[in-house]
Amino acid sequence: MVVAITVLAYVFIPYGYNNQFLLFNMMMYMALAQGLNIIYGYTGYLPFGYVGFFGAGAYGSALVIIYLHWSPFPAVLLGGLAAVLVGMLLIPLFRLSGAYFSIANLAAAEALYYIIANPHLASVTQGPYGISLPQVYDPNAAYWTMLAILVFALILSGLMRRSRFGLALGAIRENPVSAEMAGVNVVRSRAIAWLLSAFIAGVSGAAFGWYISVFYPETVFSLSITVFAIVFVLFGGSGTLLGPLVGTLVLYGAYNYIGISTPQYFQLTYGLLIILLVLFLPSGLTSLLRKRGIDVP
Amino acid sequence: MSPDTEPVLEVEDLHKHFGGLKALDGISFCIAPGEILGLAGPNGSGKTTCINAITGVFGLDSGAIRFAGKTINRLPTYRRVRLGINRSFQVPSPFLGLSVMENVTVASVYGGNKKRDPDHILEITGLAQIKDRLAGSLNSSQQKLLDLARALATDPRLLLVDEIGAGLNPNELARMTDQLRALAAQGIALLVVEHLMDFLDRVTDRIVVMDAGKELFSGQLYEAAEDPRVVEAFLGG
Repeated sequence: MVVAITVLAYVFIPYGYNNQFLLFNMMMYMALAQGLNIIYGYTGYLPFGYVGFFGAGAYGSALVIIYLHWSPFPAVLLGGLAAVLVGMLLIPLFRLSGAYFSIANLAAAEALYYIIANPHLASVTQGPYGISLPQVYDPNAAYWTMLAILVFALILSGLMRRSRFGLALGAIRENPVSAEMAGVNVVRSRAIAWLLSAFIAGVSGAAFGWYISVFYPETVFSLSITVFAIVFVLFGGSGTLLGPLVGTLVLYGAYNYIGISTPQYFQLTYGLLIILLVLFLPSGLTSLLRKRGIDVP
Repeated sequence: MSPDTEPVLEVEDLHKHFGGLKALDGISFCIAPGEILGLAGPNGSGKTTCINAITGVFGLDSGAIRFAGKTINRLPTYRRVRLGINRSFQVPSPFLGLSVMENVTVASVYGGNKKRDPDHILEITGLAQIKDRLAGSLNSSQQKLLDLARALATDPRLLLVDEIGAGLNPNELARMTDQLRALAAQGIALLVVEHLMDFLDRVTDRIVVMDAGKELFSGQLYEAAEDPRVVEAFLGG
């Protein structure tokens, strides 16, 4: 039902509301929040460098469009695979835990940013001069692709949550040593969740690059993308399918509303909202439903 | 152990050090199916380290661990669990954010034997009435039982029980004694680490006393109580 409502909303809202870019971004953040939810909400690992996958996806797809003349749809998929490749390279980071993992992951994303933005590699990555994709510019097609990615992320996240695999991930999140003692292959399960999470960020980045068609390394490796995704997950409630959706809807909606209506109070209001939530609803908005005995999907 | 019974677990000359500390310094013992071996010793003598080594929580510097005749030194923990080794923890370590039923189900699904019915496991460990509660809401003795239930759900042939008696009241201790003996009667080998001598006396068939990672004594508990080396290790010189 969550998936159906989401699809209907994004199919029909554009008929009465013409800010397609805002809708696109909201879908993108919902997908990113759901991808982050898979690795953070289900296994407890918080990747501060999640944007690295997003940027890898944007650049991976853009480069095959430019150099190999791929059409955008397979290029988006390749963007996802580029992020998976980066994810595989970063699997050794799971030797770390807690803040150490988060910071090492952030460092890895920054390293990737500096490699992409390196002027000496401009012949390959276009370096700091950015990417331009006028040959495939088609925001409508990119919009529907982003919706398909969001649906994929929701279905994947929902299936994982209800499956035995989801139960194993929950066990890992609670106590990795006990999870091993329950027979769970912790290393493999965590890696699968990590790579699925990376894939969602990668295809999202690829679709974003396609939508805007002109972007720079700092656009798609901006730390604010990770921060937004993390805050949306926490605000809605991690470890649930609904939480990241609600978090994105409320906070990204507020972000845009306040930013347009009363920009002078934007930082104050937005910060206050987050502080209030941390103080009074540390498990997110959806915990209000759980406290009333309502099962949150 | 009767001489005609093949041991299910053999540990031979285990060595493990952490920096300058020798946690295991040549300990060896074996356990037969259905036998309950007690492992006693003062704090820091290496008992829990021994359990951690057998379950693969960390590797050894040297020595051999054989389970059902197969050397398992290099197997990761989850593979050892699927072979039939499991444990309870000194500090109960259930999955606090999962329900009691989910705690047992995950072990039943992944632990190598899907025929173990989680409901049955909860029934025999006395947790059936609270199966829908979150593990984090249970008291310490209930969490210990849940640890045991999680271990049993993997259908173990060797169960390593780490100070399960600590904090239990006399009635709970008596029930735990019966439960452990019932498990041994089913052919499960048990290694019981415990400080409560009365509990050890009622549960175990024989004991090994450790000190500074070495075997100090092996035999019956009443004999250990008269061994001057054991007395010195526990009470000081």
